[in-house]
Amino acid sequence: MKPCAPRRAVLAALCLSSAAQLAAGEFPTANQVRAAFSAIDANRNGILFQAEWDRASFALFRAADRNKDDFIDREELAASTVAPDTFRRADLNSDNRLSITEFAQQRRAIFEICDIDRTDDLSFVEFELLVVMERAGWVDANQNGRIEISELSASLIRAFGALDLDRDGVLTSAEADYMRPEAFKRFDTNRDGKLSREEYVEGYRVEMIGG
Amino acid sequence: MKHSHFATFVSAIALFAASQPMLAAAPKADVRDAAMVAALSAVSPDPLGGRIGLAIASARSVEQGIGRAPVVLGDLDRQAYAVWKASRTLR
Repeated sequence: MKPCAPRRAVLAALCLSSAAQLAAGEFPTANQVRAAFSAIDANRNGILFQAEWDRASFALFRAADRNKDDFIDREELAASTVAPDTFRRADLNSDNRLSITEFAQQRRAIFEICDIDRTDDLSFVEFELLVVMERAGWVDANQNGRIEISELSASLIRAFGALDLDRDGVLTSAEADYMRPEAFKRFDTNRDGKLSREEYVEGYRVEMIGG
Repeated sequence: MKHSHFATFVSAIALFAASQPMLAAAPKADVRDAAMVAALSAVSPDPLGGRIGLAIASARSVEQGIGRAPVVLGDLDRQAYAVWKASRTLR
């Protein structure tokens, strides 16, 4: 057995546990979101540029491409956390494997969708919303493949529904554990320690487009 | 002749010295990449984007089916990836 095999096994276990977490609809913690953002933000300026995003995409592709043939094939797909349905659709030339070009195009489309304010970069808030909407989906009312500012409220209402696990119409800090604590406090305008749907939507709306 | 040997020796030393940061940088880059992949996998287990990614890919495959999306893709990403990967495999 190669020396790196145990490390790969641990990494695979971590990935599988992450996949199980996604399947259960659970959200990451605020610290995990912050850590992921910082990992991509190579120049530490608090903004993710396309080049930084592309480098992260390359690292993700390389990690999934276990036999290092520059493709993610069926076998690698089975051992990875790539969603099979998305794989089939992202495989544009239908050769049953994803090239770096197909993978990078898909990743770049994700970046563009989440660049809600169209500044060609991702702020931390946009990245945070990406994490939420990867699980909850988003409302693409005009079917243009982008999150328009006008669609943001509907998308946030959908996210709120996914987060409100006990269906009591408010989010506790535990249910919105992915959020920065300071944002939770800021959104909680009536200071009751919970976020109503209106507070949640309005809080993000103000962060994205200002008061 | 003696001068030529000296120049070669100096060049070899300079080349050796210059290569050290590159050789040292590759494993560091690998470590950083592994940490980045682990951090990203914790928040986005599906690198193709979860529900957002599925919607994107579905829309694109529909466009391709009706001839609105290009089937033949450029190789700029492949070239960029090759350059990026080479910076990780200098050992």
